[in-house]
Parts: sequence; structure tokens; C-alpha cells
Amino acid sequence: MHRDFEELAIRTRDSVKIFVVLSFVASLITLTAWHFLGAIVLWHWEVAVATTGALLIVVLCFKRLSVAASSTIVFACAGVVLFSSAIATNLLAQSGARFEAFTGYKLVAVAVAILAPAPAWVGFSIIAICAVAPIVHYFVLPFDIRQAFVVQEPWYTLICCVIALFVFRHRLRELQLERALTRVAAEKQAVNNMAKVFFFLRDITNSPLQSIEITALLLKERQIEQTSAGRHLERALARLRELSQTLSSYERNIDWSEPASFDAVTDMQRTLAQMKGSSRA
Amino acid sequence: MGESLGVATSSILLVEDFEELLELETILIESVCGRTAVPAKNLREVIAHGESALKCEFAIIDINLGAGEPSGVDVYHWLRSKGFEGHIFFLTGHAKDSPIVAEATRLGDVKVFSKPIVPDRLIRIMRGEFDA
Repeated sequence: MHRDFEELAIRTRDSVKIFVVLSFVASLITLTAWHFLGAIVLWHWEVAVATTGALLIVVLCFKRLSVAASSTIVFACAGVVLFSSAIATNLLAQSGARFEAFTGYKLVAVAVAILAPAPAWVGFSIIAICAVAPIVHYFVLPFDIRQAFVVQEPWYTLICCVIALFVFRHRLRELQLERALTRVAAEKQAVNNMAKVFFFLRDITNSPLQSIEITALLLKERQIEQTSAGRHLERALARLRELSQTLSSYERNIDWSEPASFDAVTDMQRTLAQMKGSSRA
Repeated sequence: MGESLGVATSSILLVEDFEELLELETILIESVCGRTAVPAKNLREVIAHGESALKCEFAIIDINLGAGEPSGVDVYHWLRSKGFEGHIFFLTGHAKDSPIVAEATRLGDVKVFSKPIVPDRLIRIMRGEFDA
């Protein structure tokens, strides 16, 4: 795999890891804070800490998670944090204490938007949940409990999620562009490597070709014995054969989906023109 | 002066790392062109030839003389530093814009030919028809 592609894959894995770490740390801080506030009985944040902790272990242990596995982990992590946040918001509203509602939703939406840890549809789904769930949550609560919420909610959370949506869209475009540039760089690198191979090929083949030409001339001029000429030709051909054997080991890399019969010179010229185009891109 | 060293004044210095080609060019020079060849595979062998190489009328040198070996351009510099005044022709299988060929071209008082060169043209050069 091209070096830049490897780096891109590592960064994608890192964004999943950072998202899980943030979820774990946020759950742990909330658990600790609630413990000190003496309100641990309201909601056992140990569940969120244990779940995000387990997911963190999975992410750390499996270096090469598939896209589906990464998406599932991001979904699970966001789900745990949002569910805990929803219950916490509910219980705090009932307790009559002063509090900031739907904090988890806002933080998850912003984290997903900035980190872009999963494919587009996963990110958009999570941000959409973060935007819609607080509104539903708010309106299903009895009127007297709703009075405990600050006047801006749940619209403030909705606006945060809309902003997160735009940030996420921008991040996706940025990643798309980065992938495209990486692909171009990889193609350019491949073309450069091929050009080097052609350079060496010319150097390897020209001397035997020159030998064959001189032998043919010497034969025509009767300046060389047939046995001697045959020996010279054999040596020149041996060098070309050696080259042919070296190159044949790379034939398995060819995409044979194209027609089996071909005109080698025309096809080579076409391929070279394509390569030249790629290297200029 | 060349004859006193046992080398005809019409001798040609040949520097080529591909032994097969060196042998054939030597035959070509001696049988078709009626001259004497001073063959060498690299700079070390050119230096070993000493005066025989320096007294040659002109030199035909391959630019790439193999991995880890001084190039044909190094042979050129050695010859010139030792007072070699004959024409120098470079033969190369490399592209014109490769650094080593570009360096050879910049030397000015040389001619660079691409390999494989048409044998008739090579013979004309070996016969001293330098405008070939």
C-alpha cells in the first residue's frame, strides 16, 4: 500500500480511537462528579464507563478493524453516552436542581463533526439523533418538569447540531479531497517508478541489440566465422532472455479483464500516454 | 610516435562495460575499418593501458560503465587531464535528459550517440568520418 494511504488509514483508525477515548473520559468524569455531588444514585454512570471502557479495549486490541466494526463501535459509544445523558437530563429535571440540559447530545454532535470517525451515513445519523432526540425528549416530558429546563432548550441543542452538521459536511469534503490527492500522489509515484524501470530497460537492452546488429553486419561482410557469430548472438540473446524472465514474474499483476489479443506496440504507446497524463496531473 | 609504442596512430580507444559488445566492436574496428582497437571495460583498464590509450586518435566511450564504476564522463576527464587531444564520442542507451547524459552533452567537445547506433554510422565514425 502507498505510504500516504497507510497514513490516511491510520488517521481514520485514530479518529475512532479518540472518539472512544473521549466518550470513556467524559463518562468517567461525569461518574466522578456525580459521586462528589452525592447524586450517584440518580443514574449509575458506571454502566457508561464500563461500556465505553470495554469498547476502548476492543479498539486498542484490534489494530485493523473493518469499516463495519468501526461504525458499530462509534454507534455503540455514541448510543451509550446519549442514553446516559438522556436519563441524567431527565433525573436532573425531576430533582429541581439547576443544570445544563442535553449536554451529552451537544458534545457528541460536535465530537462526531470534528473527528469524523465513521463513514458519512453514520456521522449524519448520529448528528441527526442528537438534533431530534432532545426535541422529542422535551415534549414527552410533563409540563411541570419542562419548567426546569432553560428557556433556550431544546432549540439551543438543535442549533448546535445544525452547526455540527455543517462542520461534519466540511470535514467529509476535506477528507475526500485528501483521499483524491493521496490517490494522485500514489499514481504519480507509480508512474515515476515505471519510468525508472523503462530507463533501466533501455540500458539493459541496448547493448545486446547493438551486439546483434554488429554481428549481423560482420556476417554480411564475411568478417566473422559463423560459429563465432553464433556464440556472440547466443550471449546477447542470453542477456535479453534473462531480462524477459525477470519481467515475466510481474505479469501476474496485469489486469487481464481486457481483451486477450492485443497489438503490443499500439497498446504500449497508449499505456505510456496514459501514464504520462497521470504524472502531469 | 604511436608506432614507437607499438600502437598505430590510427588506433581507437574503446570503453564499454558489456564485454560482448566490446569484443564485437574490436573485431569491427580491426576487420572492417582496418584500425587498431585499444579495448577497456572501465576507467581502471584505461589507466592500465596508459600511453596506448592516450595516443589513440579518438575514443568511443560508453557513458554507463556499470554499478559502482566511474562513468564514461570520468574517463573523459581523465583522458583530458592527461593531455588526450583526440575526438571523444559517447555511446549511451540512456535518455537525453538523464543527468549523466546531460552532463556528457554539456562537455561541448564531444559527440553523444544513442545506442543501438546503426552499424554503418558506427563504421563511418570508426573510419574517422566524424560528421557521421
